[in-house]
Amino acid sequence: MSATGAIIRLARRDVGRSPWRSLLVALLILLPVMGMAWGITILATVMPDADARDTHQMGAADLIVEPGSSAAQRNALFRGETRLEPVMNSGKRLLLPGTSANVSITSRDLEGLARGTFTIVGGRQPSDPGEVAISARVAEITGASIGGHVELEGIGALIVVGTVEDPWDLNGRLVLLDASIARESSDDNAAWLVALPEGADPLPILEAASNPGPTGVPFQVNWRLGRGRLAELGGTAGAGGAPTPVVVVMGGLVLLESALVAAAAFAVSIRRRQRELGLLAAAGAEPRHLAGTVLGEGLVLGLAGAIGGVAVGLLAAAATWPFLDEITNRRNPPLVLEPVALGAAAVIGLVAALVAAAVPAWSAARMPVLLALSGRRPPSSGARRYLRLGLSVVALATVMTIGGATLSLTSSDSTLPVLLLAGGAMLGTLGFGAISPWLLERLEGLSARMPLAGRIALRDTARARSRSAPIVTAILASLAATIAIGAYGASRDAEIAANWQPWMAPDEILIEGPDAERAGPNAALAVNAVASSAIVGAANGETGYAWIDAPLARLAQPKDPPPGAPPGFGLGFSAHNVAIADEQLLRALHAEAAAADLARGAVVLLTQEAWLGLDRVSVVINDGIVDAPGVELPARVVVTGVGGGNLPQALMSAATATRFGLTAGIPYRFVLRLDHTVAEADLQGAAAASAQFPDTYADADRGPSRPDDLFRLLLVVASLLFAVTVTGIAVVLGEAESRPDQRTLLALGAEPRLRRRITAARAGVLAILAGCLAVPAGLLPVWGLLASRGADIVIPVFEIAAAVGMLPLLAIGATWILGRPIPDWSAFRSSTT
Amino acid sequence: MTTLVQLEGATRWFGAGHTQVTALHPTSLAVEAGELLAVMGPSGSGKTTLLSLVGGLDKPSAGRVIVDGKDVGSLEPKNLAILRRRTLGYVFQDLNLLAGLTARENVAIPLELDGRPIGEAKSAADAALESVGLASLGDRFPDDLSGGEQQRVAIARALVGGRRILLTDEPTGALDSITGESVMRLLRAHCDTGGTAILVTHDAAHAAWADRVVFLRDGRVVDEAQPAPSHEMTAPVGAATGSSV
Repeated sequence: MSATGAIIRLARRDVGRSPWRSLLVALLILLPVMGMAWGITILATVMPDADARDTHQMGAADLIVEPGSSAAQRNALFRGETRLEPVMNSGKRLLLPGTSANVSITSRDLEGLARGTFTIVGGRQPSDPGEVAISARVAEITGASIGGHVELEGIGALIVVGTVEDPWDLNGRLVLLDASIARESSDDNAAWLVALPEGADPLPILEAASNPGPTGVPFQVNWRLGRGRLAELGGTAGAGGAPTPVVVVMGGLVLLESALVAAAAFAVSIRRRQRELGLLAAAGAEPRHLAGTVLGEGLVLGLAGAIGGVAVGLLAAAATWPFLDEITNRRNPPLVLEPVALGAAAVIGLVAALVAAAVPAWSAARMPVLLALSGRRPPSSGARRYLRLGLSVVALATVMTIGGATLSLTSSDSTLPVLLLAGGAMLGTLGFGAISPWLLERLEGLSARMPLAGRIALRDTARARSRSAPIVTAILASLAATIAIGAYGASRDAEIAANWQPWMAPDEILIEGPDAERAGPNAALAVNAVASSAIVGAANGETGYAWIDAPLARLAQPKDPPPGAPPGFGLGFSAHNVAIADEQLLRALHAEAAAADLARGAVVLLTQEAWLGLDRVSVVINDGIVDAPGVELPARVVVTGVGGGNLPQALMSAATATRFGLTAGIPYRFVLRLDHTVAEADLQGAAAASAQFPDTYADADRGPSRPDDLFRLLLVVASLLFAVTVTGIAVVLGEAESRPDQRTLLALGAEPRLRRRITAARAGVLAILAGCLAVPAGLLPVWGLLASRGADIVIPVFEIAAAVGMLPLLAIGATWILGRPIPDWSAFRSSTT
Repeated sequence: MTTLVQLEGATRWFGAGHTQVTALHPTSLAVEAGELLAVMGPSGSGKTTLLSLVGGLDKPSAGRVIVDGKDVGSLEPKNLAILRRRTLGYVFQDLNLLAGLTARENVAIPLELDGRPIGEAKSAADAALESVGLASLGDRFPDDLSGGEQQRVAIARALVGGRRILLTDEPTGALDSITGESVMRLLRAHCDTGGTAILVTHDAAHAAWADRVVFLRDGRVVDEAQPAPSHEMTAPVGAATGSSV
């Protein structure tokens, strides 16, 4: 017991004797733990649990009957003391001076079963059909406040009596009507909140709703998942519980990086305390005591980092909390603490510190006493051993990656493939890192003719394996992440580009919205459009429409017929997006060549690819429920190369439309054609012209969207910065051991700036070595990940070369700028006699 | 005779006001070419300070230190470094070899720092190593050498390139008596061929190899003497290790 006490005492003193190195190790543990604690707490706060979701959807009810049930069905299901309240939701236009805007309207009783779905935050809820409560956003648009009026299309002016808030959409355009409107609306349009009597069994109700018998129509009943006995049906895992493991795993990976760097710091500590450890051993300390002093240091620093990390993480979360509502556009509860997850984060941090100290502790325990007392570096074991170890681990990682990819393609269970792929990525990184001592030994042999600074840096890096190997692994892991992100992104981009279907021609702009017909001409003027037209759909009454069918048409592509297709295989053509066109629209859609065909009554088809046998089509008229028999018309195909459904695929003249009893629909689209490819400035001009009308927007096809580009860039920058930081730490640790050498060099007539050169060369050696190893380490898991989806890997050679080349440049540049010259002789006075 | 080292009222103090400590009081001293000067005195007497001033590692607070005709106190850092590379050779008590470089590379450092081609520097280093009897150990790293061998490598490094002034701070402190004596023979040989050496030592037996001994106490020169010849100066250098020059 006294030995343990002495060990802990020694460890504590060592922590105090090297305050900067101790601070570094503590920070290496603290920062990832802090990130985990922050992430766990914020996610638990912003991710609503199942009960909160239920409350938002069904208030205080036990069940919600979705729209579509009849009164007879509900009466048959719910009897006795069951309480039902209707909820009606729909969209309306809010009439504003000279324009209008979309709003969501709802009718429900917020003091009844719907309490908790929305919140009255000012005034009161409406109690008369002539009253409304409006959200802050609607108040902002209309300028109305309590006591004022708003006007809804088809309803008229209503007096505002309160302010309502959707706690899950603080910017929502919401108008709350009196609950009586829902009660009087058609059964089919309303959802029904149901409060079952105490002790009622809901299972027969759910059963009856989904299996109403041969004559009934099933309807959907959702039940409360968050609490009550029905929770067992859907599982009650709160939504906040799911991301926590992700945070812990991500944090754990960062901690692995930290542990590698911390291991290097402990290795330096051992080297500097070598004589002292020898003295301890000479005084009777056993190997376990020597190891204990190092592990004790890890324990002290790990505890400080872990506890401090959780504390700082919670403080950071508390500092973030006031901004959460704005960031998430949602009303969030007070901070939700997850003690188990927070404890896990702290334990992972502590374990990382102990793991980091373990190998140096083992080295300290094995060091012969005389060697320790001499202060000489222990003789290095053969580097070939590291090569064998590294290659074995890389081989294992490759097998795991191949296994994970193969299993993913053949098995429906994703757990094992994911574990294999993740394990393969981690082992691959460690394996390539383990090769570094061997590579350094090989490079050391080449250093004889290098300039002095490079030679000293390379020899020092090669000889201090216990410090260099974990550092190289940490840098390569970080750079491998950069490479992996780049390769995965490039592969995904190639995949998306291969499957991309343009939805507009490159010189077209589409104005969409309720006021498209008014905004369009302004936009056309703003961008000097060479052609422009509203797009008017062919309508059949209120809900009916026309569509085009040609079942025997065949694609005139080299791939036609598809491989393995039977003889006579045909692909049918159909188009649901039919518009009434004139010459202006034809021109705007690149179909002016078909003007004569349109005039003679043919249907003009705008297609992405050429078709065979598409010279006649059936025009099918639907009345909103069923199709009438098709009527054949001649067709003219114009291959525009545009797919998708944003623009009409079929055009007919107004005369043809009239012949089928079709009328002009609402023109909520307007197309502009420019004499050049749409530039950002054109789009901004059109957007500005459209922005004068609420809910009306301008858009153009700008190629495959890559929404994660910014995220990817941020990850790459973060990885590179991390790699440079780790390199910097490595250099600082190396510097800590180089003080006697600096003194010698100064006495031998070295100019003070030589130290800068050595420092920069040391950073360069580490970065170049890690960069070379990072390429296979980064590509292996990406290959596995893509192979698991049956996708091909695309290697972005230029980007990888840039990243691999940039790291040494950044590292050398940063160390050159931040490095210091050899200090004045007086700085070494303490070490002179 | 040519004066290679001259101190004119050289003084060195540290700190200021009531915390000021004077490590070397005004000292005047001249060392001629071919002279081996021993500096003796107890710990804290100012020996190392004196050596640091002569070596251009430190500058006097007052007075002048002239080395090879150059006023050390007025030299720019770059010129001081050149002086150390071309004129001065420093040998420390503790073994100051760069652990990552071989014996040959350690010896070649001053020449490399001076911009000499690596090949030329290494050839000169081989010659210097041969002069101290270590011709066959050039490829060894310091950790693979004994203490005596390391000290001789350090002397070879101080001699390489024909530097004239050798400054040695307890060069035999970590060595056994036989190895220590071989180091003294090297110093003596250097002075006998026209060089100059200043030897800081506690050991009167080693001081006896000098042409003159200066005694320091509390930062002041308190005595100066010429030791009686007690050694056979004709013994070949490197005899202790069985090698010859």
